[in-house]
Amino acid sequence: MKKFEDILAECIDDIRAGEANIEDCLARYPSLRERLEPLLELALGIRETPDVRPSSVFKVKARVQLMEHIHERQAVTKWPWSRYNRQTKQITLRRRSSMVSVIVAIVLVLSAVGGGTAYASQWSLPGDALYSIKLGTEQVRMALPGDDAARAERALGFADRRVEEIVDLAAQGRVHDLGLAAEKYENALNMTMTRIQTASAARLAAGNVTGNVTARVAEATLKHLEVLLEVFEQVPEDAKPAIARAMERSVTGHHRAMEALEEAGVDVSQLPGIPARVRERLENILGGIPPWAGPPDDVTPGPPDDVTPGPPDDVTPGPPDHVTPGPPDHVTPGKP
Amino acid sequence: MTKGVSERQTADEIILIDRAVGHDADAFGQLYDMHVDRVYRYIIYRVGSEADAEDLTQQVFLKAWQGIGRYRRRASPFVAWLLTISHNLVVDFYRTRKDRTYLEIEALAGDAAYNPERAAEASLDQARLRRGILQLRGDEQQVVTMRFMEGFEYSEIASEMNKKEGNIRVILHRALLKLRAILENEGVES
Repeated sequence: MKKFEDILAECIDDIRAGEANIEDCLARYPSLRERLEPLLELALGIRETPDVRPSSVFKVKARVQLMEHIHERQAVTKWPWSRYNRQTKQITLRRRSSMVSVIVAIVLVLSAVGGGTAYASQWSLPGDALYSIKLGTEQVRMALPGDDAARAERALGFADRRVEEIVDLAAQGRVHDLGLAAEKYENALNMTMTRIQTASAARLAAGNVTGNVTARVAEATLKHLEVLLEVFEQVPEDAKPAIARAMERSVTGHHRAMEALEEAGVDVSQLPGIPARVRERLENILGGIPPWAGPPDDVTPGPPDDVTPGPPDDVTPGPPDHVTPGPPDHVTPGKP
Repeated sequence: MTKGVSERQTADEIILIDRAVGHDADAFGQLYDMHVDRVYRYIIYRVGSEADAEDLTQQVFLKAWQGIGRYRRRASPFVAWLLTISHNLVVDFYRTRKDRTYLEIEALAGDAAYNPERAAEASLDQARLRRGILQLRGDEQQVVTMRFMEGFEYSEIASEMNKKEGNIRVILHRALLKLRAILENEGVES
């Protein structure tokens, strides 16, 4: 004999599916009419949650904060490059530790087929012999499956790398290579914005996914700016022009991202802008904050200038001191 | 029912979930984009205040990221997991305000954020129902909202709550009885 709760559930499901009405059910179980009827009426009166949505500003801000949390900064150290390196390496480590078995397998395969060069290139800097291979692996990553928003994210990751390279070059006193590094940084930012523009055009009706990527560009360029400003203050005079140029690109990228967000209907006044102290310093260095410069001239990211593609670098392990996986640092809480 | 069924978990989403489980932040970001509206909607229904709903929504995704490494695909869709985290956080939210009941918080919030103007379909009856639902026990609220408002199957709810389907139907029956009593009392008092 069926339990009452099963009959109740069955009737609710049938009525909601349009396969019966209340009377049909009550006729099916006449002895239960008095108990069933009020509960059916009540259950059928409960509707789906009204379609209340959070504000766009909240969604963008919350996403930025979420990503900030994920890529959480370590304590500030004296040298901006060590702080920046620590951030980026921590992120990389996290991915590495979760993929360690895959990595080990791929390293073995790469070594066997001569992929060691691509592997080694990942720690090269502008001006190094292997740097073109590093750029080539990035082009391969850009060609991997994913929509324009995902590619914009990847390109933004490359811009992060370029800042890291500038920091490393400055730390090593390689002043003559900073110009190339600044140029590559600019290319990566342009590529990011181009992908966002393409994604925006394709997804006007698909929510604010693109807006979220754009918000991250606005946020990332601010971080770039702050790190570059610290580098600027500490490098010799002959290195300053290249860093200044990179900072100018950060500002332009930030402005473009903010404008794109504004066009998408986001209230940008709620988002963080260039801090006053940075703005003041930039005005002294650059002779004023560069205005919105319009779309980039080279909006189509063509093939890399000197490409010898290697394997995708997100599966290539770090140098020896980074490949030893620690305990997984983000596996604590499981099912809530 | 138009929402929440497993079949709606697309192949793309499954790929994103797998990547996120491997601590791919970009993939997790895309899952945030897909589900933030629904999580927020679920929470604001329960807490009423926009500010609290925003705060809790953020916490849901932080907790989800912290626990993503141990997420395992199951009978229920990924969003059901997020809503379970949401439910637990809402329960904690009220637990930390032991001096206040749902209704007192409701009164303080004055339905300002969750009002009929913002949710046009929230008729007087729906508002009464909502007040009644908020007085149910945590597990009863979870079953009622997931089944009737979010459209999950009994099997999916059972999977999320680590119970048998039969238990879910028992909880649902009990919840409806209680809800009826609450609404009748309210009618008598008013």
